[in-house]
Amino acid sequence: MATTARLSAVLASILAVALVLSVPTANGSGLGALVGGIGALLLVAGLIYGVSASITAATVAFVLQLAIVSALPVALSPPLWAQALLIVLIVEFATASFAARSRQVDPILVLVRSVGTAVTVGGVVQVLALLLEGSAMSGVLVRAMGLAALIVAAGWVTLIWRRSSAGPSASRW
Amino acid sequence: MNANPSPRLRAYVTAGLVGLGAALAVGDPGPALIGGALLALAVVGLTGLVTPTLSARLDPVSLSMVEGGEYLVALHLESDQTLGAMYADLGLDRMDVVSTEGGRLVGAHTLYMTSTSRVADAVLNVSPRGWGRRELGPVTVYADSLLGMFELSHTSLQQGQLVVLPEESTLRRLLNPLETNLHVGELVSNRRGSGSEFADMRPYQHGDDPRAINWRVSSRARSLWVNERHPERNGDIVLLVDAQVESGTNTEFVVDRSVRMAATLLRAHARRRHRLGLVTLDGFCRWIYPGMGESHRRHILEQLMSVAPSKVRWEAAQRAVARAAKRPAMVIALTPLLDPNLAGLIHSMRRSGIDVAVIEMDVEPALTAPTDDARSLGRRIWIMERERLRDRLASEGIPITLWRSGDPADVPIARLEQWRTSWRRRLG
Repeated sequence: MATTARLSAVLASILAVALVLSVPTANGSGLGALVGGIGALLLVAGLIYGVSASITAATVAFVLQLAIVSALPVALSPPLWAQALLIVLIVEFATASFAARSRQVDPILVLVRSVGTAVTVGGVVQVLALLLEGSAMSGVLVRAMGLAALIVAAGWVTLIWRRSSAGPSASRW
Repeated sequence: MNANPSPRLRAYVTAGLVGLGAALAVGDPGPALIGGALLALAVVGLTGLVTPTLSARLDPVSLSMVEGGEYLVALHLESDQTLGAMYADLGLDRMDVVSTEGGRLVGAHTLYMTSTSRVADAVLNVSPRGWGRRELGPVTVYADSLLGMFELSHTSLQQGQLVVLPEESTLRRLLNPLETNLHVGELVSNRRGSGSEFADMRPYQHGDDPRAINWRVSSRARSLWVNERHPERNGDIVLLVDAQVESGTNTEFVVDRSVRMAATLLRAHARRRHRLGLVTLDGFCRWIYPGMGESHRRHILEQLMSVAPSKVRWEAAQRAVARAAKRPAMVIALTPLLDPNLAGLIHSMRRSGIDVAVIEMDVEPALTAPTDDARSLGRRIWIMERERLRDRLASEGIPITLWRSGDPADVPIARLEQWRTSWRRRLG
């Protein structure tokens, strides 16, 4: 394994562990930490054994961890923007690690792009969170809007995905 | 270019959908915010996917290189879309990239290039390692789509072949052929004719050049005497490169040494304007008639680069040697003498009057030390058999010398010359 691949894998693993360890464990939120821990474990194992699906598994686990903790009466730690930033960083570094196993990649570019994407996503999440705090929407309205957003997002992704995979040069997952 | 979804696309889409679903389940906007942001990344990445058509070409300035030298190779990329940032895996087999222009080297053979147009050019300064024929390419270009959601790659087919010639060492002395031919060269011929080297004197005959009259001797003898001279001629040199090695042993390096010595001899003899020929004893038994000139030497060297360790078909080898050494020529055999058949071939050449010399390649460094008494005995018998083979060749007047690894190329030549001189003295 190339040095860039190793470094990226180590960075992704450290960030994953840091994300799990920073989650509170009081009032049953340890369940969230457990789910996140399993995700981190899967990520580390996947990075060691070369299974790229572990990135998806870990990312889903971190989102579920956030969902569990936010459902319980505990203070969210780390803050939402930091969680978004960490998740994106973990995904970017882990993906770069897999890319660097099959070809040469520039470590500086990997770092710049990962940090850039993560900071942008963290910033967007924080802005949206601030906007949401100001509004009084809750209950049935939030759920209805969420469901609609989910359906629209899923449909959009499927549509664009099919279009992008339709060409003769595109391969399947 | 081929587009393959990167693991980050899978992760962002799945986690984004899970985040939206989880937000609905727990009734908190937090997971939806993160999920939405991840989905937004994926959607932007998916919309920004373009799969350009790309062509990559490697153009070496010279198709013939010498190992250790530095040569320029141009890389040209052309696409129907704006290229952006990309990595080009150059596919340069056994070549060191010394410096680059138009791109940044990432790793040994990967170039990072950026271009805001549809073409990108880079110039590489490469230094080949080892000799032989090389395939250029294939060149593989990697790029990421917008936000790295897809990994784009394109592999261009092999870009042709080039020949890397071995580095030739300089020889201070050479083994000259005993017989010369009719072309002008630097060798003093045994024959009489016009030249600068004094040979003998004889009485003047009608038609002799008056400038050849030796007036001092003529005045003493009271009749006209003329000087005879040796003309300067060149000779035909045929190199016999034996590339057969025993399978399962580490003796393949012997072929490398043989080829290097052959290249050195070719260069040195070409400088003395000798005509050069070649017979390679490998699977194909290539042979080239002796000829002169730099292009002929290049042709021989390029043929030499195709030599690969393999088994010899002896019937073809005998025919090749007989054809290549038809005229009076000196055959220099470069061989590890592992096969008695080759000794037989050298014998038959000698019997048919061909001036032949043997440079034996040292194989001992490739041999492992015997581990038990039986192997030790076997090794001793093998060494004795080889010594007997050498003695038999030497007893027929064939100069033979062992070129030990570590010795410069001059050493075996000097030994052969010494051997020939002592043989002449012995014959009186």
